[in-house]
Amino acid sequence: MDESPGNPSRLTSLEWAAQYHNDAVESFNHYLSVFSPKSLSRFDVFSGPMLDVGLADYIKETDLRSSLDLLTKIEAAFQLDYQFRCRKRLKDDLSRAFRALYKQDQRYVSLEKDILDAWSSHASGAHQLIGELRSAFKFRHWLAHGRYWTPKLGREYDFQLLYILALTVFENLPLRGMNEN
Amino acid sequence: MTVKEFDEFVERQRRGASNEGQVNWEQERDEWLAHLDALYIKIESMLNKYISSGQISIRYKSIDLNERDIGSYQARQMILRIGRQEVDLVPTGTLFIGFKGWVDVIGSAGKSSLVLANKDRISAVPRVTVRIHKGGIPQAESTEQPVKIEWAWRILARPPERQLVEITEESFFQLIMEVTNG
Repeated sequence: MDESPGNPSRLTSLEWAAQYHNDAVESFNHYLSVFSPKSLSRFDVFSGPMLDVGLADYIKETDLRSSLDLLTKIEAAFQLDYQFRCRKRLKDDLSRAFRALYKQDQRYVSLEKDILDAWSSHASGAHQLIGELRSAFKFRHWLAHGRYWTPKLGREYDFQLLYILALTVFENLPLRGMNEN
Repeated sequence: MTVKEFDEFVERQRRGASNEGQVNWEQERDEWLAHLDALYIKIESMLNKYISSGQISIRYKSIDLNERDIGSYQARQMILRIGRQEVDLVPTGTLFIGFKGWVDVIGSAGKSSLVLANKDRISAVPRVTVRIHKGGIPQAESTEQPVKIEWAWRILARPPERQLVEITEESFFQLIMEVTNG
């Protein structure tokens, strides 16, 4: 796989995101350990329990950052699919709806207002999954815009749940344009 | 917010409601909470030796959950105390595609999940059949008859692994050690 930044496969590689996330968590576990000389010099006022609290905070923050990364990968996949369907002039209803959107505005389309609406209208069986995505993208808004309000999300989101959601999207929706030109 | 956007919002909600009109949400909630109680009983049983000797203590607290369609309700969170380590089992809800329940397991060194899934399922990724319309012809959401599912609690393997792991003493103890850096 071409791992260069900007490559569609790399942009949407969930496995790479999971490995990066695991390595980040493992790294903090080593760094914020009572056995780590660096930790003792960096956090010299920390006792063992204080280290646990510091570690828990770092892990929580890492989870949020990795969650945002997953959500951007899902968005990238839908945007690539939109571009592919417009460019290739596919004949199905979803592709026709996308071309109408493009002709209408010739602009960057919104995932939630334009793309997910089109999927809801022109695909059968995707209703619940699209609903899950709409909810998850409320979480993405909160993450991406500074977390300065208390979001009403209806459920807790974390990396593991969003990883399953991303896999469910990538393996069940006929998204185009990720590994094809 | 334009009138057109509001119209689309109303139509989306109406379509969703008609698809979900047959679901008894109170029953869904009660079944999920009964499964949650069963999970806690199983965990208490697995830890019995350590609880009896005072090495591990267990307490519970009520937390508020709020899910679309079900609304607000309370569920029990389990808190394990192992020495100076605390592990929280936090129920997050019942409505997530392909699962009937989800519990986060949170320790100082990491987080994992227990999920209530079809007993026969081995993959964490649910199968969803999605068909794109052609020629303006909508296809039925699903022609399959609902079947009675036997639900079972499973450990969700850490990504990028994707399998569902049976909860045994060995797998659960390993999970506790992972989230506490034990």
